[in-house]
Amino acid sequence: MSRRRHRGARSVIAFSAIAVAGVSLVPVGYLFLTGISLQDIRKQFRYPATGAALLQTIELTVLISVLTVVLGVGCALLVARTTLPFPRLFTVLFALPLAVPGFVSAYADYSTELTYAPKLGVVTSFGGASLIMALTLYPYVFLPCVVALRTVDPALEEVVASLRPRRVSVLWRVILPALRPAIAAGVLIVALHVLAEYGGMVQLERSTLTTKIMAEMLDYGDYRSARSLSVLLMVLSIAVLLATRLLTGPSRLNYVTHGSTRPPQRASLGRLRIPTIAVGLAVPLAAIGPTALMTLRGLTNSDRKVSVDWSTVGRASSTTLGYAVAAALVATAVALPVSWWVNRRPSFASNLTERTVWVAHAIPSAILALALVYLAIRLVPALYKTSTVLIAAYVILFLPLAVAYQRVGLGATRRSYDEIAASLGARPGRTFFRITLPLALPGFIAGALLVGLDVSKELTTTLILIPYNAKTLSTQLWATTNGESLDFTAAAPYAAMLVLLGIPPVYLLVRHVLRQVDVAPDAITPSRADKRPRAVQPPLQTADF
Amino acid sequence: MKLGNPRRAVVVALTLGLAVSLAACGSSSGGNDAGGATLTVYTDQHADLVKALTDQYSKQTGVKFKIQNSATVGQIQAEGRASRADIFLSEDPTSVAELGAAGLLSTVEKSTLDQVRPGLSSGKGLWVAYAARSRVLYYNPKLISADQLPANLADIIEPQYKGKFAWAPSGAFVATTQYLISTEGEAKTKTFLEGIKANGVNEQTNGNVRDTVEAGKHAMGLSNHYYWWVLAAQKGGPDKLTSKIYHFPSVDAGNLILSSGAGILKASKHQDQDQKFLAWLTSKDSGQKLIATASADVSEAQYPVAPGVSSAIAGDLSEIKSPQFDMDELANAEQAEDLLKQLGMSSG
Repeated sequence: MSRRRHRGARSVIAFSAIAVAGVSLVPVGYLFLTGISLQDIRKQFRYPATGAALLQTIELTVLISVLTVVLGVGCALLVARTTLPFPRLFTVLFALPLAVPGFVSAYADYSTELTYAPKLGVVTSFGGASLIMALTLYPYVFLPCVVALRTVDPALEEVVASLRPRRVSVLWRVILPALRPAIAAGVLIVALHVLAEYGGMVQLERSTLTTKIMAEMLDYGDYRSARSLSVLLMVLSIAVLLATRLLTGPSRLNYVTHGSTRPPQRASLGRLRIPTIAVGLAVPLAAIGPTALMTLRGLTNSDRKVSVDWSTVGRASSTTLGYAVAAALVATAVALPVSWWVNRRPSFASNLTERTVWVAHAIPSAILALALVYLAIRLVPALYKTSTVLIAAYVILFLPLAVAYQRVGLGATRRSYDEIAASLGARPGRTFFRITLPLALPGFIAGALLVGLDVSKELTTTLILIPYNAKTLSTQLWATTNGESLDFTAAAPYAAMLVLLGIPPVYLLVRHVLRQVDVAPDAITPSRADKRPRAVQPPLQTADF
Repeated sequence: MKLGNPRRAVVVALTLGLAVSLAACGSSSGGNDAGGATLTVYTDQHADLVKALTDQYSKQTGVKFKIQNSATVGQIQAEGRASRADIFLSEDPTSVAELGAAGLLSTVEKSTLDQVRPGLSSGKGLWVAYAARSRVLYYNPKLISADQLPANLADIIEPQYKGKFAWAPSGAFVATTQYLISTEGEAKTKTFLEGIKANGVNEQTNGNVRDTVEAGKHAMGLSNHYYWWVLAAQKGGPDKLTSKIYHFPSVDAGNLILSSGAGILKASKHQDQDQKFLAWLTSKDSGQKLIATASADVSEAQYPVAPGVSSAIAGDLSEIKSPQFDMDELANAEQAEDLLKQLGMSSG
């Protein structure tokens, strides 16, 4: 009886996962439904700037990915593998850029340069723009790397260290190979963000495929060309998906011991302590310093009285919070069959399904929003311009984040645990709540928090699908853009609120993903470790999404 | 709150989610009421100006508004026949011109069109101007003196201005290009644009042009008048700015006036109410007065367009020596767009 029921449950999960992936492909279907043409693409490529934009898109994607790996892995090693003081505080600081929308930090950097060194031109240069984007995106690499770092078996590091006494050998031979899946997962998110970034790229004066697509829509009213170019963008995103799959690689390190892993050795910083702290502080400072500076200057601008309507700020904050929480919960629920299926039954079909949900993440959100306008008003007219369709859009857009982090969570569990529980007579539901969920919860919560954070920063889709007269913090921020430039005096309360609202989720995120980061090398006692099921994690699988 | 117990965490999460989604739905469904009709306005105009105008109209008439900010022609076209839009309020003339050319707009009542200075609205009566902006040259007196400025736009490609000015491939720049093509022909326009490209620096947006000239990165910049006034208001007055506005002394393409237009969607079920709102919007004692007297935060220092009404900030539109220009042409600006793209001077 029970076996048949299990099989039934399994196919329900598989069916739900495929259905979720299918729905997330709806915007892509719209592209083909409403007409695209090779001829339009060819027409666009007759203009020299289109080819240049395509090339620059690829260059930016590669360079920003590399920079985020350097920053993300570097910061992760600092908090997890050195004696850097206040590792928990630093972990929060390193993750904090997640709370700032890309277009806000791009404009803050731009105006900071104009204020203090107008002729410098670094912010809008290729290298400068790449670094600015990397500084806003590296937490996506940083977080999974910290998770992965604590699962590397220290015994393995010790073996290598005894054979090759230089620290660098351990880094190259053990740690970096172990980090490959985590790096790949982070780079995937980063690269797709770069491909789809609009506001930030315009402000940093970088022409990409997405800025071309948006210009076709907004400046030239040529929606057909915009859709056709989007197909090209999808091809790039598929290339990214394949490339990160390669990066994940077959790398599997062996365990030296079985069972519980010990806390790792931390490299003593010694005389480098102070410089390392300085470098550690410089990274988040460079990432959010200009935004903080411009916001403070705006709030304290004495030349001009702006009567801040705090009730509007309050309403926009609660609306933003509401959308973020709702989308995070729905995305968590919807992502579950996908992450469960691919985790428990890895197969071609389940892997393909999981990769599919990423594709929607890579088309410009304006195209996704127009697709939902087109479909909602025809299929569910009563829901058009209500929060339901908006939240559906958020879920499609950010579902991959939930799936990715749920896979991290589920990686902490094993099919064998289910089987043991079943052999002891536990029903699948009980097993899920008593065994799987407690082990996987940090990953689930991390995914939900990341979705919520991204929702609160989202602008393009929100502007199109938000209920009439409703306001979020980021649409209010945008409404103060007098003449295409952010007016930090009027925008400051909204920017400040957005960052303040972002801090608790970032803190929770760090807490849930990184239980062990603040544990000093010798502070963990066996009895404490025993209480934590997480200490028995199998290495690597954890971060293999 | 401890979320250690997973079952409790799930319950808490679901309850929270339900409460929040109910609250979100509740706040979005309000709107229809006993008073008057509710008009749905799609707009790409500055949000604060639209809010001020519609709020005042609501106060006077009881008519309520649903507002779609950052609206695009694409959204209305994607909505198709079921579009909810009654009225479109544009910032630049291009979007209303495109709606008109697509056959989506009703004709505006003649009495409303007559309330506005001639030459600013659609020649076919498909939309009426309710505000206007003009093209200008900004300059930084620390870097160039007023008597060295070009006498007309065409002169800016002369060798003495090489590397001295910023420009942006904005919608207004496309409009200028289209105007030049229709008056001077494509060959001459191309030469002019090549000169701009060789002599100037593309700063991508009009806002950047303003900020870079003000900061002293460039001596001059081609932009629209109101960005400067907005910055002046932010800094506490025009005297706080280093840069200045320059209008070319004679009738010139560099002074081109571009209208913000109001149109009524054919699909609207409130045609009478829509016409009444447009009449109010363009009346010198109502909408125009608000645009003329509002602070720069609200009006963005845009010009009112009814005769006899002038902006308390930017002055009277009659001071601007703009050539005549049929702005409905902007719906078919492919020639201009194509030229700009060929030269690598398009946006994006």
